[in-house]
Amino acid sequence: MLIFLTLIDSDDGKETFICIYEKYKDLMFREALSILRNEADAEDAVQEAFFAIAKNISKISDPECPKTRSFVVIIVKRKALNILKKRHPDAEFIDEINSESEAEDGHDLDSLLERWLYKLPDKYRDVLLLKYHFGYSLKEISEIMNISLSNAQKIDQRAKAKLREIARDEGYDI
Amino acid sequence: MKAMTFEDHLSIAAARVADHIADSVPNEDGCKHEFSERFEQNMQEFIDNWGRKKKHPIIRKILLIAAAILLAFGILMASNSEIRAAVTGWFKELYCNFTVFRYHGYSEPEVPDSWELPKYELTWVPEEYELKDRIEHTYFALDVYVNSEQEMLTLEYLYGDDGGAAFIDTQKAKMEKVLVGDTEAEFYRQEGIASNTLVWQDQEGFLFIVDGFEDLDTLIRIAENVQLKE
Repeated sequence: MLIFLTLIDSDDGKETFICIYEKYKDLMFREALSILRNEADAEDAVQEAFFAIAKNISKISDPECPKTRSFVVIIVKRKALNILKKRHPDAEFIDEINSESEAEDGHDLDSLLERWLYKLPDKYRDVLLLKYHFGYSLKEISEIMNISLSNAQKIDQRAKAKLREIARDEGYDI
Repeated sequence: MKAMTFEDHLSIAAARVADHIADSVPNEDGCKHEFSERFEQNMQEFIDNWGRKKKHPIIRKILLIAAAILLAFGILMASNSEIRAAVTGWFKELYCNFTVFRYHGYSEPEVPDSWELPKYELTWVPEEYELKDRIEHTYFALDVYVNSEQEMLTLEYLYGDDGGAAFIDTQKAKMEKVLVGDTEAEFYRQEGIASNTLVWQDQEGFLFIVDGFEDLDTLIRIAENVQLKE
């Protein structure tokens, strides 16, 4: 920070933030620890996640709802993976981590896309979730994920291209 | 009825995946953790300071930055006779919460009448940033870019004459050595919602500072696109 710049500019969202902080900090720590296996690093990830949440607090209307719960989990996992990547800069596997599918079988397009989303690397899926479910712009996503805007744009495009590729492999044209 | 697009279906699928994520993590009550004192302090301070700092209009920010730089020049030029380093260049010192880059040289500042500060410019900045203002002084220049969210991105460069100094608030910053092209640089990553800073010097005695709300890779790319204006 050169000389000084402002942080949060108004009281708006402070109560919401405190509510999220009190409710989810332990859960977020646990999620970060499961990735980092180091308590100090996990706390750093939680802290980074809360700073990102604070910056986007205006988009959170209900701290208690499942949408907020999944949002904080996605953010803290992303921050933890960023720290892990920093600790192991040559470990390409970090970008390729996939979560286990929890999608139910179904043959309508929504169900298929749900299943295919789980086949994407977490980083790709997170960008699509943040954009299409949580309603963040790519600029906001780039800030949340500590990546450049152009990188976020690339991931968004590649993620959708990958979804189409997976669909083609399964005999669908989307 | 309007047909659903691919994006519409993707939104539905994304919502379902997000719901699974929410369901897959344990109940909050089942994972209590005693956070470190450092963490608790940082977060408490962050919450306590929420809303305290009022937003300055951009122009006021620019003027405050310029005033701080001018003040630094004035103070250090006045005390110049006491500064006599064995070698010439920009040196780093810690002062209160600031890291100060100060120029130490052999000679009294002698600037020929015809001397003009070279004009450096950024030939690449991230989308959405536009040049808002430029402040120029005998020994330094500051280009200020602003995006639609009123976030500032600045390029500052200072010519190395005795007394030149730049202050960076590094109280909560983590520093790492990086490269801008082939040149060693220092990257100050701020905790929380504050801008990051990249600092390096060239062989001609200039200190360059790029500061903005961008990540390391982006700031390096910006820095690598600092070029002398023809």
